[in-house]
Formats: sequence, structure tokens, C-alpha cells
Amino acid sequence: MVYSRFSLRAGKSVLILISLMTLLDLVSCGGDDDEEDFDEDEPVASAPTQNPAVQHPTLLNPPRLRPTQPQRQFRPWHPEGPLNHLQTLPLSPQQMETSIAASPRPGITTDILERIAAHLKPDDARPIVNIILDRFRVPSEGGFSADEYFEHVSISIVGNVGDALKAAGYRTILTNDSPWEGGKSDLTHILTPGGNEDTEEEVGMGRFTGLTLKTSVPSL
Amino acid sequence: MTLLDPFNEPGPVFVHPVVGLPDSGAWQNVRGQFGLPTRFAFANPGLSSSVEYHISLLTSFAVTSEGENEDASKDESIFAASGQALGQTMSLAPFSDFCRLREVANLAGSNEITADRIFASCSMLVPTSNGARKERAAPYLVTNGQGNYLWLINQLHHEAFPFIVGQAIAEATGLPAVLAKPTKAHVWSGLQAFAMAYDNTSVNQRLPFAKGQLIDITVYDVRSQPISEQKGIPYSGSVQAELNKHSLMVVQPAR
Repeated sequence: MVYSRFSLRAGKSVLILISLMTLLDLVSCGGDDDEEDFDEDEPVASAPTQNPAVQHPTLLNPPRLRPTQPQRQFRPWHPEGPLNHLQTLPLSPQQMETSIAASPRPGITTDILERIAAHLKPDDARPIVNIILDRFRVPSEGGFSADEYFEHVSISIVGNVGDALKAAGYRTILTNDSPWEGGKSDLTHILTPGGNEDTEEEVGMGRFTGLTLKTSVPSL
Repeated sequence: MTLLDPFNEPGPVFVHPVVGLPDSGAWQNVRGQFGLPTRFAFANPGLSSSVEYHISLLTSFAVTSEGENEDASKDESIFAASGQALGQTMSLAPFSDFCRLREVANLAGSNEITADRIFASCSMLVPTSNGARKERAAPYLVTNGQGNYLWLINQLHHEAFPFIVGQAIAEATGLPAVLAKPTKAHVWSGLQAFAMAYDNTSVNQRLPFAKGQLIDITVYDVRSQPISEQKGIPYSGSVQAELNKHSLMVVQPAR
């Protein structure tokens, strides 16, 4: 029982912390290895990793710009004003609004929008990677439900995985428990809770979790 | 195991356990596919005072002799600050400036996995029976030789993780890796590519342009001011740049 308690706590702690890191990744793509030099005024931008449950329709069919399209004239952004001028940018207005509003630096809105507006998004047919979040499954007495796991959506790890795959030239599509069914994915990255090896006293946490994808493997 | 079957899933598949690799149930099939033993031999003496609870799991957080979580002040990364993997030196220990970090890994011995199944390895700081920690070589990412990969660690520094993933994808697809070298930047690759540096760093990206295609490269400082702008230069096969901390590089077809 001791180890079981440890393992569950360990897993829960990991998941909570990585979810915090994921949250940070979702609102900021800036990292900083030097805390003393950290500039809280630095610009931030959203990372477009998506949860299909709230997937923006433009994710799968991103707007396309003609490379020859004339340079658009930048217009100041207003929180309550029309955002039509942003509709063809890589980031959705909702993402930008949230992300930009997170910065306390006056003038950052103008700076960022000017910077983004200077670059038109070209036609882009990057390959697709399906990141599958395999949910946490433990008996209810384990004290950690699948919903909790999902709430703590696993991952600095998701941020790191998403960044790695975007660096490799992929578009990311995030699904839960099962592979993406909206088309063909060129690569699959399964994030599973996994768990511990069994001990002489207790079964490992992974006996109840992991790789239970609906279309891939039977439940463990 | 459909996703790990090359006939069903021709693309690369990465399996990435977050809190360790179990040895029960269908996990044995996964272990078997990647040439891993049914159970790793290492028994971590730091997990509790009871030998029966010693398994191959390494964690950055300490536990008491009763197997309970120790105080956060006793946390210690299971990775050295930096090391060499895949022939490149890179930061290993994950960084977090807002909460203490949790790292989990399974330590596999060098004699437990054949060399052709180990895609990337480096060092880990492993507890010993006297309470000290010893640096040992350890596999990080293993392959089944058919384009599928299994992580034995849950996270790494941002400089190391994308580089290793990119190299694995390159091996699986037969295409050159986009990141030619590790970089301390958040990178998005494609016909419009970004690199946002979180430290002073160099970036070397192979992008999907034809050689000779005209591209624009713009670099901004942290205040969004353009500090470098090259327009209509022919693509030479890669884009290399030195970036200052917090600067952003954008590469795109010539406008």
C-alpha cells in the first residue's frame, strides 16, 4: 500500500505540475533559462495546439493567403472592435486577444500586431501529427479520476512535444484517447500516463492505465 | 497494438509514458516490440526503505522511507545540466521558473537493450544505496527499428527534446532533420518559419524551400523592433542565424 500511495501521489503531482507548464505553454511561447534576466514585458504569442472538443474550424482548414496579396494596412486593435483584419493571420483573434492582453506593457498590442501584420502567411501544407492524450484510468478509490487527469492535461510535456513536432515541420492535432479521424496523420505521438512496474507488494499504477486507445489496443 | 503495426500505421509513432513504463498486461507487448526486458533490473533504493518497493523508476522528487513525498526542498533533477546525445552537446535538465519540476524515468541497463534499439542515450543521476547519486549512461529513447519510438523518460530540457525528436523523425522518414543542431529557441518550421530564442543561441533550420528560391529573413528584438532584414536572398539548403535572447526570427518566401 505504501508504494501504491507513493505512485499515485507521484503521478498526480507530475500531472498537476506538467499541466501548469502546459498552461504556460499555451499562453506563452517564450521560455527563459535565466530567471534573473526574465523580462515580464516580453511579447508573448499563443501556441496553436488544439483540443478537438474546442477545435477552431480554421485549424484543419487554415485560411490561405495569396503570396502576391498586397501588404495590408495595419489598423490599431481594439478589444471590442472588429477583428476582421486579423482573420487571415496564423493566430486566431481569440488567441491573440488573450495572449496580448496578458502583457502589462503599454503599447505591446501595437508592437505585436505590427510585427505580425508584416508577415503574410503563405500557402502551407505541412504534414499533420496527431498527438493523442491517452487518459488516466485508475479505480475510483485511487483518488484520481480520468476527468482529473484530463483537467490536468498532461504536459509541459504537451508543450515540449508540441514544440518539438512543430520544429520538425508538422501541424499538431490533439485528440483524446483515440486517433484523429478527420483525415490522415503523418505521424502519431501517444502521451500516456503509463505507470509503475509492479512490486512484490502492490501492482503498479500502469495496470489500470495507459494505451487503452479505442482503436488501437484492448484495455489493459 | 494497431498504432504500432507498420502495416496499419506507416507513419512514425512515438509512445511517451508520463509517469513511467509499467510491466503489466499489454505493456509487456509494448516492451517486447521495443526489445526491452519484461522488467528492468535496476532497483532504485531511494524509493523507500522497503526493498520490495524498489523498481527501476527514477524521480526528481525525493520520497521518505515510507514512500511518501519529501519536502520540495529535497527535489533534485535526475539529469545533469547538460550532456552529449546524438553527437551534440545540449541542456538536459528541464527548466521551470514557476513551479518545481517533476521528472520521471525508467533506468535501463546498457546490457538490457541491444545497441540497435537505443536511438538516443545520455546520462542520468542515479541514487545509490548510500544515499549518494552517481551519473550513469542511460537510454532515453528506444526504437523498434520500424519507425516507432518509445521514451523511457517523461521530459527533458527544451533544447534536447525537440532535437532528439527531430532526429528520430529524420531516421523514420528518411528525410533530413529540420533542426540541424540543438537550439535554445522555440521553433516552428514550414514555408513560414519562426524561431523565438529564450537564450542567446544559434539556429540552423533546413526548411522546405527549393535551393535558390528567394526568401526573406527578418529578425526582431524583444521590443518587436526589426534589427535585421534580408529580402529576396536565395535559399542555400538551410537557414542559420545567431539570435539574442528573446529575439524572433521569421523566414518566409520572398514577398
